[in-house]
Amino acid sequence: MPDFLLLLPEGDVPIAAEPEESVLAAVLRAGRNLQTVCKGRGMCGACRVRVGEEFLGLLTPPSLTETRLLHYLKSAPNSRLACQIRPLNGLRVTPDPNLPRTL
Amino acid sequence: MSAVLEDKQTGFEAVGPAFTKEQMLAMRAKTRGVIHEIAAAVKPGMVEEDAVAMAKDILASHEMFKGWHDVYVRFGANTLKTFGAESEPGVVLKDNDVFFIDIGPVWEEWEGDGGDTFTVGTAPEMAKCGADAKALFHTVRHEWENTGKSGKELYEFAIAEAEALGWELNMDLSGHRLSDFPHAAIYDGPLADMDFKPSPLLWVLEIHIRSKTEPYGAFFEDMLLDDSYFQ
Repeated sequence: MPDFLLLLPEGDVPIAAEPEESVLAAVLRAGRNLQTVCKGRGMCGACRVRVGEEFLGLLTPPSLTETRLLHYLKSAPNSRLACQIRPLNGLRVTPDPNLPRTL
Repeated sequence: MSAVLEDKQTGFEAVGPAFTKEQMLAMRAKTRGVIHEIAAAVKPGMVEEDAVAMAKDILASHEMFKGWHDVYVRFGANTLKTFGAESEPGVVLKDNDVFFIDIGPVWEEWEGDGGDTFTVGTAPEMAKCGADAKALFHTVRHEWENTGKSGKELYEFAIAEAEALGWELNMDLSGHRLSDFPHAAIYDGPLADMDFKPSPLLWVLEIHIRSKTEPYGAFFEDMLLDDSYFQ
């Protein structure tokens, strides 16, 4: 099971992921808060995270839908949707809140 | 109405800072336009997954890259599937068949939501199901317009009306809020749970009916608005 780090202002949180689950699913299962409106379907952009640069090339590339959405949201080059990536050992992700109102 | 119920309704019907009637109606028009554009491009022989990708391309061509829910184009027996359920993969639209579209795009600050059912070729029973879903939407909407019924009572009425038409109403799809993005910050539950009369422009009325014996269903949804918005 890959372990990854959720980087929060109050400190880094280690999270153990189950096989096949997304970063978003692992974070929510661990009782930590990443926002989602579309319930992990890659549509709303609320779960956008910044990924450690060294991991970008190791993750499954974004789909056309994710690429369009990240561009539309004027995302940083190292942004991904947490619902669309699988954890890797040592992966570091930082929430990139973009909602006008908190869920 | 009691003060307690009034306070409760005010909470469930709150809006965000970007909400305006004009923008919500403009988003409604964009959404319904895109539904018909997608429907016109769906052809027999197409695989459902390709239709979903095409629908996303069409939405993107209108600068609707973001959605508050996924894009659904469901073919044939997948029209029985409830909201959020995975379709059976690889379903091809037959020459005589039914499909429905359900989209929830977000454009700039505003949410849209719309759904409609279409048939191809000669499929009279499926066409009747699609027509009945739309007719039932309007029957329930008229009940809303002309009575003081609550969300809960409107869906009790809808269940009985669907039954009278010979269909089963899928109560997993029983209405919801719509607002400036994200309405989920205000209320993410069903309209059918509300014990007050919902206000116009703030709610979506969903009707998903299914055959009790055959593998097809139909879906129609739009905002709760009075007759003047449906001419």
